[in-house]
Amino acid sequence: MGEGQTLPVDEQLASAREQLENGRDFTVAVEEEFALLDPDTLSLDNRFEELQALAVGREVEPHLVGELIASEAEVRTGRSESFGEAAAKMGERREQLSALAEELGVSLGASGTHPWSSWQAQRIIDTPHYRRNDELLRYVVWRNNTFGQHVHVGIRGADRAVQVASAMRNFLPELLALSASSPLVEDVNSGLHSARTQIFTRMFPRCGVPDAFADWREYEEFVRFLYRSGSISEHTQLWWSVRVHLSFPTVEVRIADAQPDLGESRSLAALAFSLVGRCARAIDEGEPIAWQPHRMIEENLWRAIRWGLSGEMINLQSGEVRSTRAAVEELIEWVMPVAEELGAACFLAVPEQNSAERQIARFEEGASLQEIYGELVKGSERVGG
Amino acid sequence: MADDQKQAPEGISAEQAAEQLKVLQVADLVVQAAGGFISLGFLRLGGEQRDLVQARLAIDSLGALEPVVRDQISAELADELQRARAGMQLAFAEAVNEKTEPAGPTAPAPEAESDAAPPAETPGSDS
Repeated sequence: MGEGQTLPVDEQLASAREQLENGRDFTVAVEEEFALLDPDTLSLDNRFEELQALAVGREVEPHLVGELIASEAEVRTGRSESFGEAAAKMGERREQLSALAEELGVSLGASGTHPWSSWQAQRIIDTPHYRRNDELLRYVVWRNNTFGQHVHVGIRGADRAVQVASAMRNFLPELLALSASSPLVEDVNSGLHSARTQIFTRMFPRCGVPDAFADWREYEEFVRFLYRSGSISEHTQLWWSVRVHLSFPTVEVRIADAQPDLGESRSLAALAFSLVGRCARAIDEGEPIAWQPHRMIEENLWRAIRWGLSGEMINLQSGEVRSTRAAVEELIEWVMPVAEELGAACFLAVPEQNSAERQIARFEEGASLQEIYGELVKGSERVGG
Repeated sequence: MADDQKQAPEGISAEQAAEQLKVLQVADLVVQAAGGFISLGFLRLGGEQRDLVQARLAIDSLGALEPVVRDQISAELADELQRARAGMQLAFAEAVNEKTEPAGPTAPAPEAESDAAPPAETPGSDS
């Protein structure tokens, strides 16, 4: 057991199971990651510690956390009883963070990658967790200058949570395609819609689409195996794009790129939330959801990385290929009854163009990376909560 | 009847209406319609005139109009439309939650003691 693990594994797993058994359905929390930027150059600026110091004693303090590099900050809504409450808090957190950033004299970026700042210039923050990750992952973690959106959804029942997570695997490509916001990285148009996924999800171990687990016992056995074999020293080293959390009674969806636009961020979170609700409903009612093999989901995931919302996706049941936009629209239709019950329906939408598509369109018009990123930063500053 | 006595439905003369049409932009009409959706939508979100089906229609209609007109209007006006739609969405979600019990499709569970979001030092983040 590594120093990161505070509870013995058996106790940790027993506690996680108990929390899930006593958990509450469909509470929700959203985490958003932002780039800290020099306001003049819009390059990444290593100032998280100053931002955190400035937050002390303010409302945002408990909701502001560091994330790997000193040029990144994350804000969290905290547990919300409804999606509407979480959506309102997303706006509040953005406003609170913006106010703090303005006072400090930094700007905020919210796309999946920074278009030009090099990873060599970013400093890893000095916390025990990130020191461990630095030692463990080296180049893999150094390269990970990426920004995402994560959605935690409360699920009652340990077996049920594992089954929901297994079902959610199928839909990760559609969520990623909708969210794609990172075509620009390392001073180039990468040709990808989500370069973040290629840099983070493809490089990290135990990341991306997990295997399907049938129930808690199977999941627990695998986690136990990882600890026993010294593969992990803390459960957060399971970096999968959807995971049953072992500290909180939630299924966490981690596939999405960060969103410059608050409205689109809420819309994306609403889809992740509604999908978890819809999968839980299917499990409760015995509606079959095929757990697609990893290799099949990977085909769609690559399409999402490469072409985002502009491409095509395979219907993994029928083998039919249709536009990704149509696939996302189908998904929205599928979740709609549950989204309506849970107050998330009015947020669900497929934008005319998502962030990656807008950035690529501007690039093809001849705009420079600086102009494109400047517009993104200005756009997210203009429309606050 | 002399031309100058012809009246448009709003009470302005035909000449005045024709003059207005010469300068009227389609974007102006779209913004006007958007304003109507906002006013009516908020009206249907609360009070005696509450009708969530109508409110949802107003939100979705506004969502469809906004991207069409975004490039034709000032950034400030586009932001106002976006803010109004966001306000309606939040009010709608609140209204739905007032109407229905929490916990959604399955049986209500007892209050969990733990938070649904990780505390500051627990990375629930990308890495």
